[in-house]
Amino acid sequence: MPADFISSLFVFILAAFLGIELIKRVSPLLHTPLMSLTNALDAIVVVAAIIIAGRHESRFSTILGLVAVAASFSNMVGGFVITDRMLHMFKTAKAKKP
Amino acid sequence: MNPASLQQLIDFSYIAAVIGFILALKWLNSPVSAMRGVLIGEIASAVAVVATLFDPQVTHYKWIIVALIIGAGVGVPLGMVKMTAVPQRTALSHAFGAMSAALIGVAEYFVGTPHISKFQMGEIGLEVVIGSLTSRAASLPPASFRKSCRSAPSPIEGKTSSVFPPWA
Repeated sequence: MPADFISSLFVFILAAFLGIELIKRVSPLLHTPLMSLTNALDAIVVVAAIIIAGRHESRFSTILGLVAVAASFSNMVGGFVITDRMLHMFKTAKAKKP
Repeated sequence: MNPASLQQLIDFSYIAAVIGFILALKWLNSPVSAMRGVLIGEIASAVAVVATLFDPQVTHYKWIIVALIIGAGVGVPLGMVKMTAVPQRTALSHAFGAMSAALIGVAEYFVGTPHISKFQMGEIGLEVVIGSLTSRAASLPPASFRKSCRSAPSPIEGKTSSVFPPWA
C-alpha cells in the first residue's frame, strides 16, 4: 500500500464529514444556488488538467488535458456567473417586497 | 525564486484555496452572507488556477491559455441562460465536469502506463468509469426536461426549449 495512501484517505474522510456538516443546514431557499456554486467549485479539477496539459509528455495526453481544461474552466466561469445572477435576483426580490 | 520555496508558495496557495472553498460553502448557508460566499469562492478558484500555472511541471503555456479562453468563452454564455433553464444548465455543467475528470484519468493512464501501480490503476479506473457514467447520465436530463415541457399546454413551448444544446 502506498505510503501516502493513509494520509490521502484521512483527508478524504475528513472532507466527507466536513461536506456533510457544511451543507446540512443550508436553507431550502438556497438549494439551487448551492447546486450551481458546488458546480463551480468542483471545477477545481482544472488544476489537474492544467498540470497534465502543461507537462506536455505526449501529444495525446496534452490534447486530452487541454479539452479537460476548457471543459472544467467553462464550469468554473459559468457556475460563478449564474450563482451571482441568482443571488442578485434574491436581493432585488427582497428589496421590492416591503 | 528557488524551486523549493516556489513549491512551498504553491502548496500554501492550495491550502488558502481550500479554506476559501470551505468558507464559500459555509457562507452560502444564509442569504445574508451568500454573496460573500460566492466572492470568496471566486477568489479561491483564481488563486488555485494562478498557482498551478506557476507549477514547475507546467512548461507549455500557449495552448493552456487558449483552452482557458475557450472555456471562459463557453462558460459565460452558459452562465447567462434564463433562470428557468438553470436545472438543465447545471446538468450539462455536471456532464462537462465529469467528462474532464474522465479525460484526466485517461491522460494519466496514457502518460504513466508502464509504471502504474495496481493501486493507482484501480484509482484511475474508478475515476474514468465514474466520470464517463456521470457525464453520460448528466447529459440525459435535458432530454427528459424537454419531454415534460412538451406535454405541458404552454404557449411559450418553443421558447422554453431554445436553450437546450442540440445534442441533448
